[in-house]
Amino acid sequence: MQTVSTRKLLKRPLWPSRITAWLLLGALALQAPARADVEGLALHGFASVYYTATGQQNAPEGNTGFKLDNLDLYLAPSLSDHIRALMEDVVEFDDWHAPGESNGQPVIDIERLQVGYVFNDDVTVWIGRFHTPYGYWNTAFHHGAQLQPTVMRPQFVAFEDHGGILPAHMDGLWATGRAAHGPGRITYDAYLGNGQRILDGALDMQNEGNADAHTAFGGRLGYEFRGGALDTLWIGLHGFDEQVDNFVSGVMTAATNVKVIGGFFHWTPGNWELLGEYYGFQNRAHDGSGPSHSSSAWYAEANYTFFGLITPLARYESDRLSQDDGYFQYLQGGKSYQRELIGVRYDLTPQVALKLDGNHTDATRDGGQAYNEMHFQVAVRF
Amino acid sequence: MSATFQRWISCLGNAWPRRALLYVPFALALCLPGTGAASPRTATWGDDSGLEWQDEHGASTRLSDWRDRTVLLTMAYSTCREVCSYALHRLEELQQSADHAGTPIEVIVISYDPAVDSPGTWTIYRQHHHFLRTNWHFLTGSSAATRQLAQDINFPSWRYDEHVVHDFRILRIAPGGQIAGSLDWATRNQDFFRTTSITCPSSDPGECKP
Repeated sequence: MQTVSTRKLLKRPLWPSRITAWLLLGALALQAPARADVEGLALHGFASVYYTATGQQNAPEGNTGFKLDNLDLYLAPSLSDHIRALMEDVVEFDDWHAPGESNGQPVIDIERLQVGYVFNDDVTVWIGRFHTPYGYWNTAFHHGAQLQPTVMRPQFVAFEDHGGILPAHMDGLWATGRAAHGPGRITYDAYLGNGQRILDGALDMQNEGNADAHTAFGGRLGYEFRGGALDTLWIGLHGFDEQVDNFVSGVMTAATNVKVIGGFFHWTPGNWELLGEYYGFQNRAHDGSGPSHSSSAWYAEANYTFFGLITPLARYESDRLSQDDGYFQYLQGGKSYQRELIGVRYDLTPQVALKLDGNHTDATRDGGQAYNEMHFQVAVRF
Repeated sequence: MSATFQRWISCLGNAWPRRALLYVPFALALCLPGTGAASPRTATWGDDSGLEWQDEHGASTRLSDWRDRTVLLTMAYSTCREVCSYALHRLEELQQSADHAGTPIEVIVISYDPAVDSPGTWTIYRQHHHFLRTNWHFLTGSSAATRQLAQDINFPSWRYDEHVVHDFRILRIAPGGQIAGSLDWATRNQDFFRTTSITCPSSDPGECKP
C-alpha cells in the first residue's frame, strides 16, 4: 500500500510544487535587500574549567580536584533604537557533597533577564533580573571568567550560591546612566526590587514574586575622571537597604533590616589596574529588639599588564562580620576572614586566558579554618 | 544585455527543459544578490567611503586623506586592556620595523566605542601610553560610521555590557587604499616591513637568492 501511495504522490501534477517554489523565491527576493541590513542574533558567551588544590576541609567548595566552572550563554538583541534586551543563561554545577551523594550536577541559572528602554545616552531604565549595581566587580565582570583578572571573585563578592554575602542579583527596576560634568562624567544607578530572603544559607532574590512583601532599594553614585593626573579613575559611593528574612524548613527564624553604605574605585593609569570596594553594614533585627550590629568587608587589588599578554596581580580581602547579626548568622559565607592572594594571568589568545593564583585564607576569627589554596583556570570566550 | 541578466543566464546555463523549470527559482535564488551570507566590502578609500571621523585634535577627517600613504590600521578603545594593548604594542614594533626599512607609514587607530572615546579621551590616552608620534592618528566616528567601517573591513565585535569584545587584527593598507596585508592572531608575529636579505653563496650573482 505504501508503494502505491508513493507512486500516486509522484504522479501528482508538479504545478503546486512550482507555485510553492516561486512563492518561496518571491519571498526570498523581497527579503533579500532587507536581510542584508539585518544583523542576526549572535550567540556569545564564556566557559571555564579549573583545578583547585586546597587545604580547606569539609567545606562546600573545599575539595581538591578538577572543577567545571560554568558555561555562560549571552544574548543581547537590540530590539529597536530604544529597546534592548539582555539574557545571560549559565549552566553551572552544584557544590561538592559528601561521599555517596551527587557531586556537581549541572543546573541552569537564568542569571540575567532584563529588558531596557534607552531614553537617551544619559538614561536607560531596565526591568527584570539584573546584576545589582554596587561596587565595581559585580557590574564589570558579571559571569565572564575570561574577562576578570583572577580565577575567583573576592570571596565576599561571590555570587549568592557561592558564599557571597551581598545580593548580586536583583529582580526589579533599575535606572542607570552617565552625564557629562566638568572634565569627566557623573555616573548613577538607582534600583528597587524584591526583597531577598535566606534559604539554605544563600540569598534568594525571589524570581517569582515578592512573597515577603519587602522592597529592596539602593543605588550607586560615582564620578569618572577624564584628563589630568586622575584620568580614568572612577570613584563613588553605594548603598542599599532591605529587610531579609531567614527561613529554615519553611519557618521564618530571623528578620533583619540590612543597611549598607560603602564606596569603591577603579583606576587604570597606563598598564596598571587598581580597584577596591568597601561595604559597611549596620544591621538590626527587624522587630527592633537588641542593638544594631556593625560589620565591614573590603578588598583592594592591583595588577599590571605587560604587552597586553601577561598580568601579575595581588589582592587583599578582609571582612569582619558580627556573628550576633541575624543576617550573617544564617548565611553560608557569613564568617569573618582575611585572604592574601597573588597570581598571574596569561592571554594565550584573545579568546583564551590561563590564570594561576594562590592564596592564604585565615577564617579562624569566627571558628573557621586557616588554609592555603591554589587555582589554575582555563577561561574562554566565544 | 545588463550585467545582472548575463549573470543570471550564466547561472542558468542551458537548463531550459520543462521539468528543469522547477529548479529555476532555486537557481535564481542563488544568483540574487543579498540572499547569501553577507561578505565584507573590499576596503578601499581611494574612492572614499564617505565616512567621517574626528582625530584626537577634534579635526574632521576621512580615511581617503591618507590614500597616498602606506597605512597600518586597527580598531581599539581606550578602556580596553588586553587585546588592544597587545595590538598597540605590535603597532609600535611594526613602526620600528618600518623605520628600519625606511618605509614611511601612517598608523590609524579607530575607536570601537565612540560613546566613551572622544578626541579628548584619545589625546590623554596617547600621552599616558606614550604614543606621541605625529604619524599616529586616533580616530573616533559616529556609532553608525564605526559599525559600517568595522563591517567593511571585517573587524567583528560584540558587546558584553561595558566591554567591546573583539579579536586582534591589524591591516596594512597600500597607497591607493587597497588592503595589502593583514595580521590576525595566527600571523601576529609576521612583519610587513622586514627587509629580505640577499645571500650569495658564491661570487656568481646568478646564485644570489632572496
